[in-house]
Amino acid sequence: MKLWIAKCFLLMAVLAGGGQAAAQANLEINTPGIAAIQGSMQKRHTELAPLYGSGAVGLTRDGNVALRDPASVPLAQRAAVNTLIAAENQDRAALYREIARANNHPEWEAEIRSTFGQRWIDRAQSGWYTQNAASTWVKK
Amino acid sequence: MRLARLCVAALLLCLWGIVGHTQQITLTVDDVTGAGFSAQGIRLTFVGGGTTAIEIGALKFGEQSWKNIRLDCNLLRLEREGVACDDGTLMLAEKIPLSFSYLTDKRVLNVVLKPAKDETWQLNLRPAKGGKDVSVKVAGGSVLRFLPWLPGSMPKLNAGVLNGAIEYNADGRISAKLNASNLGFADAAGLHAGEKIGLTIDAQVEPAADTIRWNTSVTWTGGEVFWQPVYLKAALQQLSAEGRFDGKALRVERGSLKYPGVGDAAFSGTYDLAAKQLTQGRVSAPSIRVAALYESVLKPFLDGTLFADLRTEGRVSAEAEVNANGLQRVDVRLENVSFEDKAQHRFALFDVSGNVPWRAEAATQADITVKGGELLKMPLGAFAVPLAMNGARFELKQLRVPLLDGQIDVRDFVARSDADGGYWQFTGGVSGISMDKFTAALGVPVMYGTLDATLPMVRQEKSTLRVDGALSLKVFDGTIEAKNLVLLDIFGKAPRVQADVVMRNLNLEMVTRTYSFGNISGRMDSTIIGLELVNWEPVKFDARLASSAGNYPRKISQAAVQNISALGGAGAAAAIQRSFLRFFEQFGYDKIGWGCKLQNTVCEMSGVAGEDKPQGYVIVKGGGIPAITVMGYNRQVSWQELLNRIKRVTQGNIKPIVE
Amino acid sequence: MNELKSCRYTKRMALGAWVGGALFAAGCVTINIYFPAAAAEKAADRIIDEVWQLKGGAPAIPVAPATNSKPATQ
Repeated sequence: MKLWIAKCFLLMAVLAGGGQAAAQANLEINTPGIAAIQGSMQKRHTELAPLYGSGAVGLTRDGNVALRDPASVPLAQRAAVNTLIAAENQDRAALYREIARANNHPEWEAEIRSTFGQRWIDRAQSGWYTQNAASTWVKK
Repeated sequence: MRLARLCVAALLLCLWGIVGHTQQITLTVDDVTGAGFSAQGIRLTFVGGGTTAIEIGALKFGEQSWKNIRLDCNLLRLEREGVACDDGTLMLAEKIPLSFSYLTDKRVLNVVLKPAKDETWQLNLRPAKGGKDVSVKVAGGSVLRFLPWLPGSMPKLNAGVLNGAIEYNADGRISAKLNASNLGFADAAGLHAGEKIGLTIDAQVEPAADTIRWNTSVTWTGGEVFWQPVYLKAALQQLSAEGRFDGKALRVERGSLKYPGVGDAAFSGTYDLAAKQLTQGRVSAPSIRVAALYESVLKPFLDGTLFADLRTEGRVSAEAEVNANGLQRVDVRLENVSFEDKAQHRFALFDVSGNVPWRAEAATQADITVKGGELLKMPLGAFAVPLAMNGARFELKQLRVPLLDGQIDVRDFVARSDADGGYWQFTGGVSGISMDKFTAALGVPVMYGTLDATLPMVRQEKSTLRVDGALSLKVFDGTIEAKNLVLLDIFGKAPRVQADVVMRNLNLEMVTRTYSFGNISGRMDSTIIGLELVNWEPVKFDARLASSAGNYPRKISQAAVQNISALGGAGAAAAIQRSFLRFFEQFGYDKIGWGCKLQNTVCEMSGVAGEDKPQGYVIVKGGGIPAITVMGYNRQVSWQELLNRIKRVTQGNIKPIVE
Repeated sequence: MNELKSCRYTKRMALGAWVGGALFAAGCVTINIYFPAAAAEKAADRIIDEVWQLKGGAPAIPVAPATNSKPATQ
């Protein structure tokens, strides 16, 4: 019996060691809302990536995507591509709003959007089209 | 017409002005104007040897104007029968080869323009009773020549070839037979575009008493069009219409649209030009194939909704009438219409038939019958929808939909739409549905009992769904009640649900059996206050589980103890296997209690109320023989980690280890 | 780190009224709600990594058992 209790205390001591890491200067992005949007964007990316590559779709300064070169998309696929772009922009808007909301600063939404806008562009693959400061399309 | 006459006049003027064979004669006309037409600074130079030049300083035709137009004729033949220029050049924006002839005795003018290889525009004027007959023939004509005349708001034409003829008779009749091919247009945003379009156009205009009678027929023979969000391919669709025009209103007396594979529609109407309004109109489309209609016309509009990907069949007939006050009447007849959520199988309705006679200003009743269907893969039985309609208000006194062995009841459904948008509400519930069938169909652990739930009042305004009163259902021999239920942004990307949930007197034996959580006999109450789900995942709540008051057998199996322990980590579960406790199958208990207050992804845990020990909290308080007490020590756990552990336990991944 | 617009505004005012500006600047400090630009960039990069699948595999969820319980005989 005593041995058992001793074992248990030992076990307890070991298990009690772990704790919650405190949130430091990071923005909170681990919420179900953000995860849902992120998951939906990640799924859509497999469809968007070839369009970025072909230059049909580009990344705008304001953290959105836009149809840059409609002529490169066959008419039969135009609707699907437009829908894809609209859905992506809806998700992006929701993402920026949710991040602001998750950090208890809804008023940060615009700044989060512009930060993302810059980062999407900075990290775009070469060959993709992005908007420069004058909002004209530039091939990376 | 006026232009042609003026042209001839100017030409004659210049020709008859020439007398003898002088070296050079220059003739100047200051101004020629007509309706929508003016020419200034006309100069005619006749050089010996047949070379002639006509210059126009400024020419205005409609909205378009040109400067410094010059017509050179290398060899102007002046003969008894007439004048001819076989090899001329018109200098407009570009050099256009031209030839013309005029037969003086017959007064017939022929002008041929060849602006490009394989492109010919031919004008023929001949005298007729009461005026002149004019014909224009075009072969390989580029539609881009019309570009300057087209309004800038339209998508821009970028290709197209025109063949055919337009005939004008002196009595006012006009007939046109034209064939356009390889027509293309696009706007900058790419939202409206057409490629390789082929059209056959046949039109006649005929003056009648004080109106003009017209009829036209256009057949779409080739190509494709994208007009956001609709994409259509040519399938010999034919639009025909005939009617009258009196200068004030355009009247379509008989119109028809034939869409091979989909169906035909007939229409008529009157468009008031001054009011810019359809003052009267009627459309009827009998026996349209729903599948074709859905695929080629409706689907693009439904993208992103529940109805984005359906399998459809059946036929629908529709008739509608509008007047100056708007839509007046819609009659829809459904014939064995079926539709089914193709990929995800969330819903289906089979053999929907009936009439929907809607009137803008009268109360009517729709009689719709449904032979069957599916909801979340559960079969629906036959039912009728007696929908009462009155303008923008729709009511359904009672709708009873058989589901599995029970039914869904909808009572006092009211929907209306006004300037602020839509609004609907209903009361109802489900009853008599066997939980085992229900849970099996949903693919969740099988539960027993019957599902009975009442929905006191469900209201939707914009994207918020609100349930007034309590939603209650009877399961596990007890009751579950959800209060203050609000669903926000339900069709959005991250729907939010708020509710307070109270469970009473649940039979723990049934619960634990259902979720393969060992075996606990007894009764349990539970409250979940301030439950908030985002995207159907909990982000916030304050939950408490506690043994119900009263006398009932209280037993907990070893497997259940192990599972509760395992929630504290795999090590604790293994520990029990090494102790003598493994020799007992069952233990007695006095109280079970557990609380979890979820906030910011961390669950703050507690145990049986009033039983806290200095080193921890009591989850199972022992009682009877042999008794067991399960204690928790750490009060905080990451919600995700707790979920993972519950999953492992209920999926039976932790097998008893017998040493 | 970026300061909130209201701060930039007060700074500009401080520039305009150079002498009295100190008061404005002091006022600014007390309402210094800032936008954490560096943290936002970091958050953006983490989400972009995920969405564009730029790094092999998702980062492991930190598994830190934060609770434990033990059975004990009475």
